[in-house]
Amino acid sequence: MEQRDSRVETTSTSTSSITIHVNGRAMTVERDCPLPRLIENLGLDRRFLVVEYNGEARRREDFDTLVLKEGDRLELVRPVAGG
Amino acid sequence: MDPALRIGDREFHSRLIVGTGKFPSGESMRSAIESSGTEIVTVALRRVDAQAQGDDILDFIDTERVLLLPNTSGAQNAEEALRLARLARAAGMPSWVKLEVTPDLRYLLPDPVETLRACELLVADGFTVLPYMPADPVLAKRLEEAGAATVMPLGSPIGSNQGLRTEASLEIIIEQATVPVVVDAGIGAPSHAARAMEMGADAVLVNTAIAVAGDPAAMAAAFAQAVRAGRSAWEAGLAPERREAEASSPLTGFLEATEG
Repeated sequence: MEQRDSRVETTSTSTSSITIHVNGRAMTVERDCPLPRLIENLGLDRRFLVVEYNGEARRREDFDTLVLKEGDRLELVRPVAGG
Repeated sequence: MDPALRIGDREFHSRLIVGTGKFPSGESMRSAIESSGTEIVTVALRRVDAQAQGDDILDFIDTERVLLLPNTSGAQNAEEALRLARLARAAGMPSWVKLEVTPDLRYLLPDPVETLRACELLVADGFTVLPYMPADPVLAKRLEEAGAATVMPLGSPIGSNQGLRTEASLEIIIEQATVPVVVDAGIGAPSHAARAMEMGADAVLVNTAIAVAGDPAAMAAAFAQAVRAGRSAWEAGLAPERREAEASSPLTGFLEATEG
């Protein structure tokens, strides 16, 4: 197998991609995708984002060290207007 | 001088809490918050929709000046309320929560059993809990015993603007409470807010009546005045109500009747 350049991002083959669930919808991302990259790819404003990772609320300080795995379930939540 | 309102470990000088829902724009919400003088505003938590992000509400709230109070709206039971509260805390909001468990979508009435259970779970998890509740004096005592920081009985259903339909029960709750009583929901006019404060409520929470007013900032200012007036009246001690007249003018020293 040809050595893959680690700087190149690819989601083209099944071995290099995983399926996760974001807000109840299945989504394919690259293997070992860090959470900040997912947030960026989704175009979300990170400042006010709240992440529940496999049922557990995660603090913002933890975002950078979180790497996504096959079958992960994420809820991405944010504050909205409410009474 | 009116002493400060103490909730949990904090002191507030405004007795008007403002909800952020239903404002026509972020700017109108910002100016209404400012003219209300409020020090606590509520927000909800919802899933992000990458397609429809829009303005971020927190861009319009000066969190240096007001405390963000996340609510658990949408929770149908105690576990869902706990889950939402934990998300808000993880987001860096203070560990304060306006507990709302309203499984019935038509009247949005709080579920007393799940609200009490959620209060116990949240207090055990270190939250300062402000529960929205039916105007039931027994439940108010039970929530107090469970460690609630306030009780927030409803005046009438959320967003209904019907005012204090529960007045008789609110009187008993206020009489018996050892934590602040915040009348929440249904307050549709400044007179309703003033009435709640005259009865001895410690604060009121208003959202719809301000947000959907013709001029939200002006209405927020009107509510602020009403809350202050009602509070001052309560502090001053209202004159008792009587069934019969009691003359304000002397009943002696009348002029003699003139001869026809």
